[in-house]
Amino acid sequence: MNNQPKKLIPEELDTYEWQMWVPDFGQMGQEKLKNASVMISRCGGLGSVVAYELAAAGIGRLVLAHAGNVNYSDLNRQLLMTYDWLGKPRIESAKRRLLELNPRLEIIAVNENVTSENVLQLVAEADLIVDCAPLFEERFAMNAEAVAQRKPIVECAMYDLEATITSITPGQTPCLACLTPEPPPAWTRQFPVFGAVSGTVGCMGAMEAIKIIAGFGKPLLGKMVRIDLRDMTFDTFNLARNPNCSVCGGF
Amino acid sequence: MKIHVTYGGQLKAITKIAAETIHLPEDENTVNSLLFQIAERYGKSAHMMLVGPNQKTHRTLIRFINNTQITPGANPKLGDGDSITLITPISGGVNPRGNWNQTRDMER
Repeated sequence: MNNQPKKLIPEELDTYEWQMWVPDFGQMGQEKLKNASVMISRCGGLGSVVAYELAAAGIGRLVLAHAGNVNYSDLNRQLLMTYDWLGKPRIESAKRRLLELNPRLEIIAVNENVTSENVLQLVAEADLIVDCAPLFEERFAMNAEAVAQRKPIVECAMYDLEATITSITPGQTPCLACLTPEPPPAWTRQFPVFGAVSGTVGCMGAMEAIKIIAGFGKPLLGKMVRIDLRDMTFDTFNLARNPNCSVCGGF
Repeated sequence: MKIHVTYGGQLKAITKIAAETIHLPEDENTVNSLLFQIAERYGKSAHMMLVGPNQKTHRTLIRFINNTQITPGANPKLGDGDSITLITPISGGVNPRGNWNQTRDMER
């Protein structure tokens, strides 16, 4: 967070009036959002919706990392990508759509995915990370750096009609490596997906970020929710820190 | 003993069922015994996800007994009527090609 918090301007007071009525949030929560910076790793099916909801909620600054150009196959779920932007950089489409919704939003748009080269700087730019990356290698790199910098992470994931979400406070809750210490042996990078599934968990991820930043409600710290929209089951699991975790075991 | 098993992620796609009850012998009442039985029941793909080439169960599988996580690699005993949830880790939804650790994504 910045040392000198910015106050809400009249336009923002009008825009966010209805959500400032939410108990325990209020104008103070809204000002915390305005002064916060969230890094979103990939703006695909998950990250697009996270970014859009945070932009709508009045987050002050987004750091977005997503490489590649818009394809037809993006358009069933990547809601920041548009038909007229086919063949052009996804990150430009994402930035354009977000600023249409919230022109006050500050965006750092990086036309790269998370790598071991850029992860330190990307994490340093943010107060909180929402990880929506498709590859476990990216997620593990993000997890390790966020833990090292003590930045909270919201982990959103999906497959088919299933999704999982958990929030991490480094040193206090289990980290991603406590949950699964290495990439799974047979992760299929291409899988069946509806935008409504990634959108569902994307909205949940945005709400987790809002709660953590504004300091209200009960974020999923040390807990994981798994949803299966095929039969509409929602389960909550208790997670355990691994004392031998290679990433956070020493904290 | 009867163990209620719920499947998630790619494992569910392989078993083609969300949940089932599995009978474990009293003298083979550990999580690993259950995983080997499931691997045998559902064939090669399930075996690949549950059991590594060294015939040890994968540490990557996310496992819960009665909704509480088991530390990766641990092999606790199960009790009659326990519910165990097995989830292969899931991630996000695009399909990049090539080495992950490159600045520019390949298309798709």
